[in-house]
Amino acid sequence: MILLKAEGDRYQFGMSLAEKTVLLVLLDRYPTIPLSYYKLSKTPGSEEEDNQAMLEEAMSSRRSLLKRRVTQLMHGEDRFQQGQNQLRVTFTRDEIEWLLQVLNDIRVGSWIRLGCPDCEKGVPVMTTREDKLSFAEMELAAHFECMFLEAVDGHVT
Amino acid sequence: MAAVNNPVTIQPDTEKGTDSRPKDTLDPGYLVICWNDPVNLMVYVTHVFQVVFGWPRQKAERHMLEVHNKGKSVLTRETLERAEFYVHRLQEYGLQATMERDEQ
Repeated sequence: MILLKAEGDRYQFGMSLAEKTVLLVLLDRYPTIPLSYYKLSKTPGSEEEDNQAMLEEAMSSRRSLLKRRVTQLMHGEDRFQQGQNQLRVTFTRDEIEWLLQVLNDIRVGSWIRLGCPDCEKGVPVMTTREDKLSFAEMELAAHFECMFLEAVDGHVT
Repeated sequence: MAAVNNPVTIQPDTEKGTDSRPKDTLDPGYLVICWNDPVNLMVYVTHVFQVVFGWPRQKAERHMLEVHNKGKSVLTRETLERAEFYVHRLQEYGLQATMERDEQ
């Protein structure tokens, strides 16, 4: 996947059919982070349970909305155009923000399923097929995140 | 090591005695904190800070490095409502953010 051109807030990417397939499969996994992962505060208090319930309710609504948006976005008619050598797809800046949120959810959710390993210290030990799949999803999500970040921020190394 | 940034204080735009909201709602005494984790990409965290707070890249990178090197960064000091808003926004992006009462 590469950035072909950027005009205003519109970004056109080129990708292979295999990349499109992987991206769609990944996005379809959303959401993956357990709602209980998020905490409003680390300080225990009397209002903690109510606040936590409200947080999870708000997050659940937001996820449903984002899931609908991204599904419509990626499966819309003529979303992917056949170019000479690859598929072409155009996203606005806002749409890229949605995709980044979804992809990062998949990355973090995969990391949680792996037992929250310290990835900075190396590749985690994976013994099961599920672990290997989670690791692959985590890295693939990061790959697409970097592609989108490089397009909008232009400083991914 | 990144320099610690002074938290921004925004005073509520109200006149004394005319607002019936609870005192906590108006008190800019809530810290929005982002915590380190080994999964979120550094460039992604920088991007999120820029989008959520409208910060320039340099400031966003400074806070990202503080999160990375010190385990957390106080991003801003706000009223209860604004702090909740920012925490929700950061969490929508998958960052570990919380709000804590500033006891100082």
